[in-house]
Amino acid sequence: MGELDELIIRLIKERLGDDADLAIRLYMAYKERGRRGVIDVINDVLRDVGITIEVDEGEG
Amino acid sequence: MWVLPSRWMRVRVKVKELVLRDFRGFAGEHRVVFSDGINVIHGPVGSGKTSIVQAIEYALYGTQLEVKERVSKLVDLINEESNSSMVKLILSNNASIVRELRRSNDSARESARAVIDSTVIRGNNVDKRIVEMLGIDDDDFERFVLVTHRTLEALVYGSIVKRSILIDKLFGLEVLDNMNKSLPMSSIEELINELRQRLASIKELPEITSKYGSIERAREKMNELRDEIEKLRKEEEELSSTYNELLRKREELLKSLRGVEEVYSNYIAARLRREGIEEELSRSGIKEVNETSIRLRLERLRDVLTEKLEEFAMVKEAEELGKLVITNENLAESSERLYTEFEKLTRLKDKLVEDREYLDKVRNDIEIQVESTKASLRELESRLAQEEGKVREFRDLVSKYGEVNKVKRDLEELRNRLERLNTEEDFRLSLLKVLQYIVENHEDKCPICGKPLSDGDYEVIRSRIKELSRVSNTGVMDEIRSRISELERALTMMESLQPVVSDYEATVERAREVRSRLDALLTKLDTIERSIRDLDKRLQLLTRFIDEFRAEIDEIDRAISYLRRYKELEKLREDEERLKQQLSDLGLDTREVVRLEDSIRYVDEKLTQIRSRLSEDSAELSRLELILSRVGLDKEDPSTLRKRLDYLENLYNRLTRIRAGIRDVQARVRDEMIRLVRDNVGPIFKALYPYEDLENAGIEVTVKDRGVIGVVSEYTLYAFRPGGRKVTISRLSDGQRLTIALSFLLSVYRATNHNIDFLLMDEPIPYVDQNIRKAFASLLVRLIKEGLVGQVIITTQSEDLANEIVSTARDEGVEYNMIKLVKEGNERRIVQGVAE
Repeated sequence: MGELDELIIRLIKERLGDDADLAIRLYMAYKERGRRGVIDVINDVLRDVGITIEVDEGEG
Repeated sequence: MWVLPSRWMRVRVKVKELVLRDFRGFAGEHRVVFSDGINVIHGPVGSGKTSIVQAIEYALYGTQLEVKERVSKLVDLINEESNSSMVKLILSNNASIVRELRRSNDSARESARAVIDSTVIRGNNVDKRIVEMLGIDDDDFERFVLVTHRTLEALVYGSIVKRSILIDKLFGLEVLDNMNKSLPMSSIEELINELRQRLASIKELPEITSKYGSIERAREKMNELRDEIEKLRKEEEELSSTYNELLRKREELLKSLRGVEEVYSNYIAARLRREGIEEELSRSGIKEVNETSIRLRLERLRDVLTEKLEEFAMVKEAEELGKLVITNENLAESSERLYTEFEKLTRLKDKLVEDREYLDKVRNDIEIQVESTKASLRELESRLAQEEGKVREFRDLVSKYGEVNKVKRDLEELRNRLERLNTEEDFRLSLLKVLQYIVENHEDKCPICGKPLSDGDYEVIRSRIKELSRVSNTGVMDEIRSRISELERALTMMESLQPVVSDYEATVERAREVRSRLDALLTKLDTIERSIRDLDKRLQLLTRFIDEFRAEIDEIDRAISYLRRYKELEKLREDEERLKQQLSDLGLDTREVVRLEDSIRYVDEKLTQIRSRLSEDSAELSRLELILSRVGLDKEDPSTLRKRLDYLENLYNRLTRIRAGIRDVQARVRDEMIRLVRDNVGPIFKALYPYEDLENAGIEVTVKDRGVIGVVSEYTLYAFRPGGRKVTISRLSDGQRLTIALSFLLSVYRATNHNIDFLLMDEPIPYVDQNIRKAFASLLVRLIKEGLVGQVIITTQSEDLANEIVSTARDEGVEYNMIKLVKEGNERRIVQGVAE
């Protein structure tokens, strides 16, 4: 994890409170695996209700 | 966490050697040796310059290139003629990294090995250890180590927007932005909408089935609706066209006669209103309304209402109403007044209905009490009947033996008597035995008291023996015992029956009380029923009166309203006639106007009807399409769907918050980066720019809210003239711009604490004139000479630029290395150490 990541994670924790964990998971997943990583995290969250989102999602 | 001079002093790595095998366009094995200072890789288009840069990046960050979409597929890195490729990178700290790719269908499998600090690392740990060694990951590397022509172009020549996007990327804000953009918001929204629709459809499906009979019939209806909508649309189109044509005609008609518009519109309005009233009156079937007849009817109503108010003890109201004088002029007011008084009667009726309901309730309560009392009585009577036999038995015993206490007393007495008789009998028998003993044994003296016995005594004793033998109580005692026994049996029986008798007597008492209560309830019930009957009678009379009165007064109201209409109609006819005359005077043919207006109105009405039908049909069609499209799909429990919907909505809200939060984080990261870069950019600029017309450089940012696009940052790079005047980059020469751009890049490069001491420049300025070439070559040399970076690896297809760099480096005594790439057909060669 680089210094910029450390700064970003600290700021996310300060700013997002209860949502910080999910935001950090999403950030790290994006860093490691790009959009696929983000979708994987979302799908992991959605697993409890049996929903899956397709990977080729991208929004401008 | 940011730049500290002491940390900057530590050992940092440069690229020492690169070995390629079957990598991209390079078939076979090739070796490139890099020196400190400037390494110029020069060759024509397609000779593999970018491949060498990419090989270095791939060696360092492996599969991340595919993950971050920097190459579309790793397999593309393998030479077309081969099934595998290899890259070996040796760094100045003697760390070496080897990555091999093997083709596997459409993809490639990677195996990685590295030697760092003399330790061999394999597999998944390789990437992690390289990042630790370099101090930056692939994103940082892309940000400020790899410089492409896009980077410099945007910084030197780009618009504010283009430059700002690039600076955001250099600051690492792009990752956050891309992460935000990668959030599948619209997919979640679609899922939410789909679930909402599914839930709505599940709810509406039964309604559709009941409305159309069956799903099949609903589908048929859907097709019918489609046909009908098509037909209606055509009709609407035709009618719209006719309508517009008519409006155009009217406009032309009016245009030809200036000043007529107001009269014309008044005439049309009067005519329309008149026709409306005529139609209304015609529909009602009323030909004539007579004021006097209305007055007489109102007077009759006043009298009957007064009578009725008196009958129901509303004396004051009756008196007031009796004073009402009705004339032909105050018909509406009189009717209103009658209605007001009449409403008091209706309120009275409501009150009576309430009383009736109350009495009903009371009657029901009493009936319930009567039933319950009767049930209690029946229960008590049944109990009495059960106990009666035992009570009779007890009473027989009482009549035979007396009350229980008497029997007890008699028994006591008999027992005492028996005891006495027993004592007497015992004494008699004992005395008899003693006397018989004396006689039989001829005793001289009494054996008890020792007195001498004489003959006379003997005589007395014999006589006494005879007497004692004759007198016995045995018979009496037997009788007493028998009596005692009889009384004891009777007493036992009486005592066992006593509780039943007591209960019987109490029950008799209770039954008496219950019966008396029942009688009272029945009397009350009878009274209430009589009251209800009276109330019903009054209500019936009042209701009949109210109904008749209301019908009559409503009819009179209607008549009054028609009377008003007739009066209005009369006035409208006069107005219309007057306006018609005015129009005629103005030269307008009213018959033509009437025809035209009739047509417009007719078409307008038709259009309204058609549009209304279209709207209804379209709504129904959409509803049917939506619901029927889901038929058979939803086998899931609605509660599961609801749960899923709640979950998704919650997640959507969380992601929305996260997006907003990330934007805030971006702003704070931006502030932090600006602070760091601002501190560095001036000293670097001074080191790179030795002339005196500019003495410093800086960066500013403005954050703007662009509505839908969101918050965007706009950066301005500028320099300072001596004396402190600020000059923006767009007003500077090419060379000055390049210097500011490189100063800025290096300030970002140095803002992060990492262990890299090289810059990779891939065609940083592809199309340049002589001045730019000179300026750029000079800048690179100064970068090295000033110790801002230890190694630059630059690719260029421009032989002039390559020569310029080499020549400047040689003149300034900076170490350099020329690597020439040669392309011969499909074959590529690397020629080391060639310099002009």
